[in-house]
Amino acid sequence: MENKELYKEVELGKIALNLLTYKFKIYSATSQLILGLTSLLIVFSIITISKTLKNIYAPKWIWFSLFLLFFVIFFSLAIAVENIFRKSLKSLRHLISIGGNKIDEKRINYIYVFAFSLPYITLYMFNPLPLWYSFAWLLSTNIAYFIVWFCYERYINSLIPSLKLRVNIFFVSSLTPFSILALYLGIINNPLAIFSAGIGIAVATIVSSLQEIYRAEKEL
Amino acid sequence: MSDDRSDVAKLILKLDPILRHPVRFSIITILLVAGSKTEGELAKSLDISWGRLSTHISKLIKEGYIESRKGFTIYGPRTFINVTNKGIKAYYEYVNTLDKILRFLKKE
Repeated sequence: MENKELYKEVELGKIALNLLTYKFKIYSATSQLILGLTSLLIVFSIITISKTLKNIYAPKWIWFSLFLLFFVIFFSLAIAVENIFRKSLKSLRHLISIGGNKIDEKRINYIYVFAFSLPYITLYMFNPLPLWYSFAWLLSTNIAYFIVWFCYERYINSLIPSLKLRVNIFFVSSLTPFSILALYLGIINNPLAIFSAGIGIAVATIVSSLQEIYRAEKEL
Repeated sequence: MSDDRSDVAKLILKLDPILRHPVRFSIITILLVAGSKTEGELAKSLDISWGRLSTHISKLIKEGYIESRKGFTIYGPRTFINVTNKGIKAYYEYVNTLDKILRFLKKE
């Protein structure tokens, strides 16, 4: 084989290996974007519906069906994202196997279940402010993503040092100022707290996803 | 300089003989990037005959770099080929070793 062909072979090999990282980063950014914006839509729909229907008579089954519908939409989207990016998830396992490591999937499942249940349950157990229920979900999401960054993102990055996944830490750092603002507005009983929470989650979702996509594109 | 040369010679000997063949290297590359593929799809992508493809596939399977699995599609039963973790590790090492050799040659 001539040198030129060998150079091409190495180049091809590097592109193939970089593509594995790229695919997983795009998967992480896209799922963050889709699920973040869907959660925002659901939360706002719930707030709007509860405010609008507060004084209108509505049988209990209507409320139950509405909540069920939202959860069905959210989980259907999550399943669709997982299916579309099936191969990207496989590429993560491939990347991990290069270093001779194995991913602890049970650990990841526990992290997600813990992160997306405990903060919400804890913060919704109290009602210290009149507007608390309308923006406490933002604080819970902030804590949830902090746990995801601390326990999941750092773990994945330690398994694959070349990956340098940053989507969750970007999300947490973009969301924290909005959480502080929402909390402050909530304390002074300003209804803008709800608006600030909505804007915060939208900005954090978009910024963190685009940033990850940009970093993935740059590395390719 | 002579030390460098002996290092490169060692690297050349380290190169995986299975992956040194361009067709086998291409098979792993396709499977790595595009995921599971049928034998037909691989033959079409590489533009080689079934006979040649099956020879290379059996060598890769024997080495444990890929695995085949029978599956059903709407067009009937097909054999799906997947790259294994051992195959990915070997591919990664092969690309890195070759890169080191070429860098040395460039310096020369």
